[in-house]
Amino acid sequence: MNKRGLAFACILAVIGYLAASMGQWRWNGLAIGQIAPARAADPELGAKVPAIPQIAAPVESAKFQKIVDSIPGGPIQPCLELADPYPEFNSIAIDPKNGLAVLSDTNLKSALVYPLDVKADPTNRMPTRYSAWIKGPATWLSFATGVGIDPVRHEFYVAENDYGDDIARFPYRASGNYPAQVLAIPHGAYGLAVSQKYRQLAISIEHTPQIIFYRLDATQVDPPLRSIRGQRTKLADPHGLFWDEKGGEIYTVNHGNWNRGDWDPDDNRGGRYFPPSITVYPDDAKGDVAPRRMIQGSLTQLNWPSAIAVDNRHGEIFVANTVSNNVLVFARTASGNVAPVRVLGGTHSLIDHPMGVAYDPARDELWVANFGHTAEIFGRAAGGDAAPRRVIRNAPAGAGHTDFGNPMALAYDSRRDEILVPN
Amino acid sequence: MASGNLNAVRAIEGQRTKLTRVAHGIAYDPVHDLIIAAEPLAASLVFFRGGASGNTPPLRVIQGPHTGIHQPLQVAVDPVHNEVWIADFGGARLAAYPLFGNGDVAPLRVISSARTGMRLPAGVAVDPDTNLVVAAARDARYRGGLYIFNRTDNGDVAPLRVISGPTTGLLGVWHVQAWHGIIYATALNSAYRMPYDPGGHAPMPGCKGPISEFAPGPLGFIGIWKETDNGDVPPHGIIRGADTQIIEPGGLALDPRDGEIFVSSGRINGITGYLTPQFFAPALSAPD
Repeated sequence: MNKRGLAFACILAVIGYLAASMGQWRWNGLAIGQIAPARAADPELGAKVPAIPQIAAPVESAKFQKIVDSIPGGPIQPCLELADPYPEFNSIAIDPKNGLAVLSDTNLKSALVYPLDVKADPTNRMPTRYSAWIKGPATWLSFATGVGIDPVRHEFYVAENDYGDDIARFPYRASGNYPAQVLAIPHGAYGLAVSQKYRQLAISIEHTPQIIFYRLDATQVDPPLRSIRGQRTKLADPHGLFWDEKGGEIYTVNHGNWNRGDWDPDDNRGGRYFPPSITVYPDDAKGDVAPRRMIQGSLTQLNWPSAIAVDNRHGEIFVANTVSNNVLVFARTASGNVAPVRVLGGTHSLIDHPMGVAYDPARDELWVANFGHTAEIFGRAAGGDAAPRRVIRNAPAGAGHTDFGNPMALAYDSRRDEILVPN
Repeated sequence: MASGNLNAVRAIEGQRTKLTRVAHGIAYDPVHDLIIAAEPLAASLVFFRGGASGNTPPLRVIQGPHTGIHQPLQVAVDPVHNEVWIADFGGARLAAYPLFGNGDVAPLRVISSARTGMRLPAGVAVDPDTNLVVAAARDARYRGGLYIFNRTDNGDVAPLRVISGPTTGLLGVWHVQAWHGIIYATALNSAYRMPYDPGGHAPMPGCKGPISEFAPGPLGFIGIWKETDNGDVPPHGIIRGADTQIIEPGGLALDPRDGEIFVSSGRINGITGYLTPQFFAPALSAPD
């Protein structure tokens, strides 16, 4: 079997279950014999937890409550439990000036903060010490995807995809079960980027392909300021986002899936598959605007591109190319069906299903986060199968990872005795 | 059987697969050894060999304007009649396609049950033994229910039976399976509400903010009914409670041979399995 044949967010993963039960395993706990992450997440004392908005939550009837305990079955303990007790990295945002990196974690619904000069010797097999781990009900973190950072206000933002549908905002000092400021957003958020020039944050939306913009301090139901959406934009299942303030442009990477009928019952055109792409817009764009540049085609090697970062000084674009297990580097002004100027990936690089990428101009380093238990730090110009300078671990080396990403469907393959999990 | 923090034994992933990262339905056909996934972000059904792995193209893709597919969630396969069914959440209908269809094919049949008020079907199951199709959907007041149709129904037909009401415990439903006259359903019972309009333009009227995943709500569960049940009938079997690890169950799969039920959940980002041979007993399918 494929070594990395790993259930990965948004793939179809196949989990064999052939051996005997391990027992004694707990959700969000630790498997027997495994080692705890470096530090427990403690709620910040005295933090005021905002009230959860009052909604018409479903209520069980008295009739059901009266009989439920007499229904055969009841609290049956599972004979199989598949989950990862450790964080699994997703996106990265960095603040070079203040020296910190924030990484989102889809698995345990959290965000981890590390110093940019983090000590993370590649030979160390134990989890890397983090500065803060934000996790818990007050944080609102759920299906955490994109991350953005505001080095002026000293705040960071985490986008929640799917049943989250929010942006959670935290001060740099946040830790543990810290109460977030939250903003309602459209369903299917992925990428997140911040602009000081406009004092805005931008979010890419997969389901209703658009880049939608809000005030940096927007909360609750504050309305969007503008959006880039429409057929001319070529947006198609957009993921990672980068706001290049020096260049006055905003970049996104598209998986290429398109279906207006998903949200518009009057649209009967059916769905489409487009090739994956990188699209670039003026950062003041609004409405149905064509991209200023678009990288797309057979030479690009794009394969589920999930994140993007831009280095203005050296004129390069970095793309986390998830399924090819590499980072593609393009010229910043490239357009059309172009090949990358270099590719970083291979067994020595440890890049394995990268979901996040960020460039640190202060240290001239490239951060790559894998959907799993490591993030690697390279010199900016690294290419080929270069070994990373440092390796951040959120679990002991060798720990398994289910790579689930909100699994809401299942099938059973009776021929192979396997469970099929789309993510 | 294995438990814990396991790596998958193989993965189908990548651009060539035509899978998206938002599949909410998957089915396995043991007769023809096929995997079928439903893709709402591309309005498609993609078919793979059972042993497929890696960045491999699908055998077939059903997609296009003639399919009428809008937002397919659960997918079910009928290997006896060579049909594949979808619950089209956005299209508010059930639709059957030829199992070996490819491209822009029209559905064989569509159950669009406006007369019954069936809304937002998230789940569908087909039972070739009884020739019935079961939908997990909402009623006009957005309460969950199980809607039972003849497999050969077509058009705006009333269901044969509807299992719904306060005694069922079904507040919100997601996926459903049917086997030898027995229905298995996930009662999601989530407090989740989408804050924006489906088009992602603006907050919904009356929305005061996003809904926390941690907002209090009733426990979800796995409920078991008979296909002959009708009305406000309590489940004949249930998997529910803190020991089960079930909070908001989503996906559902059955292994009748070994008497196992598998459940996935985004809330706990994992999968649990239950050894419940009693829920596959022939007596359970007999009418009361």
